[in-house]
Amino acid sequence: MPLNLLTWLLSLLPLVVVMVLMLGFRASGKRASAAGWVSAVLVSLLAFGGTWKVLAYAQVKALWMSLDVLYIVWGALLLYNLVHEAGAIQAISAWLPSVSGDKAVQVLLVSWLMVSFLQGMGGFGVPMAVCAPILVGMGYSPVLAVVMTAIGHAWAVNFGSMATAFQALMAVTGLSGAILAPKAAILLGVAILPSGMIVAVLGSGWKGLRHTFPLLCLVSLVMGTMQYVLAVNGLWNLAATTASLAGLLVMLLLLRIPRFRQKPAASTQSAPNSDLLFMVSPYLILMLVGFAVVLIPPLNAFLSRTAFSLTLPELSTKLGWVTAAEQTRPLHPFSHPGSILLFTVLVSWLIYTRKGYLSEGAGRRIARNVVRSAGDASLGVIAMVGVAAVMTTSGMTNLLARGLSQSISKTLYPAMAPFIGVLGAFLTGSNNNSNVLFGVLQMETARMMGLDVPLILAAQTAGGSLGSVMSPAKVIVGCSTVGLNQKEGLVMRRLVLLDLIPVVIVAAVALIWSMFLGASG
Amino acid sequence: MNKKQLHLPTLSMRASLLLLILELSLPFGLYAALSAKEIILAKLLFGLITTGMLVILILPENPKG
Repeated sequence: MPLNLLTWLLSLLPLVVVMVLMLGFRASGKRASAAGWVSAVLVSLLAFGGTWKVLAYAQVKALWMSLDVLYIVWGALLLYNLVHEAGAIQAISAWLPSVSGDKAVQVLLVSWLMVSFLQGMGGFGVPMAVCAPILVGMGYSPVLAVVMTAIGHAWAVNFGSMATAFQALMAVTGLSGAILAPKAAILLGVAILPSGMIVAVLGSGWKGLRHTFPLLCLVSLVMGTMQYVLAVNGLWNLAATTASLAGLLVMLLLLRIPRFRQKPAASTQSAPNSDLLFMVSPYLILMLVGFAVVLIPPLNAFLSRTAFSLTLPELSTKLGWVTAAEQTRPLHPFSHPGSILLFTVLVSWLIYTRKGYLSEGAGRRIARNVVRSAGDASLGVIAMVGVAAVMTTSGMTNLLARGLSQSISKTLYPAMAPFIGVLGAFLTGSNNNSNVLFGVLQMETARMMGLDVPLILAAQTAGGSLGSVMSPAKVIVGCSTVGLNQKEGLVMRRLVLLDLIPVVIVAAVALIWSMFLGASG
Repeated sequence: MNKKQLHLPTLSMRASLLLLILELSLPFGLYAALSAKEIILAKLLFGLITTGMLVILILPENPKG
C-alpha cells in the first residue's frame, strides 16, 4: 500500500471514530469500539485490499487476544465484588485516615502507590478496578477516581505484570534485557514524579501538591532508583512491583513526620486490626499466590504444562500486505492470572464464610453484579481488540507508524517515538501489544536514521506504558467497578489530556538525551 | 433521548450477555470452518459476527440495565 496523506488518514479513521464517539459524543466504550470495528472493516475492504478471509482470521486472532484479557477481567471483578460484599472496601476506606488524616497523602497512598503495586500482579485495568472504588469510598467522584488511578500507575505498566511488555519488546527485537533495560528504566523513572504530582493536584488541589511535594520527590527518587537497579540487574520481572512496595514503605515511614501525619477526623471509625486483616486477606492471598506461581520455577513449569494455541495461516491482502503464518500466544489455563484470581476468590470465600462476613444471598448479588459490569466491558474489549487485529492484518497499523516515522526528521524522531508507543497501546489496550506491533518498526527506523536504538525502544515502551492506561479497553475495565458502565467517555475526556503530560515529559527527555548524549547504537 | 431512538428496541443486559456469548463462541466456529475449508459456513459465521457488532452499534443501551 503506498504511503500518502489519503491512505494515512484512512488508516487513522477507525481510531478517530472511537475517539470522537467517546470524547465528543460520550458514547459508551462498547458502542464506540463497535463503530471503530465497523469502520476498520470498511476501510480494509474498500481501500486496503482486505478480503473476507483476512478479516475472518483477524477476528479469530482478536478473540484469542481478548480471551487472555477477559479471563483476568472476570476474575478481578469476581474478586472485587466478593471483597465489596464483605465490606472490605469500606473498611480500607475507613482505615486510611488512621494512617494519616492528610487527604493528599491518603490519595497518593491509594492512587499512586497501591495501584502501582497491584499492577505487578496483573494489569489490563484491574489495578484501577480495585483501587477506584476505594477512592469513591473516600468521597471522590467515580470519574476522578478512575482518572487518578489510571495516571497514578501508568509508569509501572512496562515492568509491572511481571514485565510481560518488556519481555515482548526483547522477544520481537531480539535485543537483550541488558541492552534495553537501563534506558527504559530511566525514561519510565522520569514519569514517576509527574504521575504522582498529577494525582496530588487532582486529589487535593495545588495546595495539596505544595504540601506533599517533598514527600513526592523523595518517594519518586526511591521508586525510580529501585526500579533502575532491579531492571539493570536482570530482575525486570519484579522491578515495578518492588519499586512501588519500597515507595509504600518509605511513604509509611515518612508519615511518622508530624507534618504529614495529621490527626484523623473525629468521625472516623475503622474496623479492628484483626478484622481488617481478614477483610483484606484476599489481596494478601493474591500477592502470595501470584508471586509463588511466577517465582517458583517447578510450580510454574507444572502449572504451565497445559497450553492451548491456534495456528493461523499466512494471510495476504489484495494489495500484497502479508501477515506471516503464526502460532497465537499460548493460553496456560492453570498458571494464567485469571486462574490465580479464581483460586484467590475460592479461598477468600471460605475465609469470609467462616468469619461470617457474607450475608444471605451474597452469592446471587455478587453473580448479578459481575455479569452486569463484566458483560458490557467484555463486549467493548472484544470490539476494540478486533479493531487492532483488523488494522494490523490489513497493513493499516504499519502504514500509520511508517507515516509518523517518515514525516519526522532524525532530530525530532526521539520525541515522536513515545507517541508511536502510545498509539499502539491506545489501539490494543496493552503495552505488551504495542511493543509487538511497533517494536521492530521503531528499531528499524532508528537504525536507518542512525539513532540510538535502545533509546528509541525505551521511548517506545515508555510511551506504551503511559499510553495504555488511557486506552478504551482499559478504561472500560476501570469504570466497571464504580458504576460508570456506558459512561467511559466522561473518563476519557479528562484522562487523555492529563495522561499526555507524562508522555510529553518523557518525549522531551528522549529528545534532549538523543541530541546531547545520543550516539548511534 | 431523541424521538427516533424511541422506536428502536433497546439493548438490555440480557441481550448484551447473549451478544457476548455469540461474539465469544462464533469465532471458534469460524476458525473450525476455515480450517475445514467450509467456506460457506465460514462466511455465514463471519456475517453473524458482523451483525452482532452492528447491533451493538445501532441499538441504544437500556438505561435500566
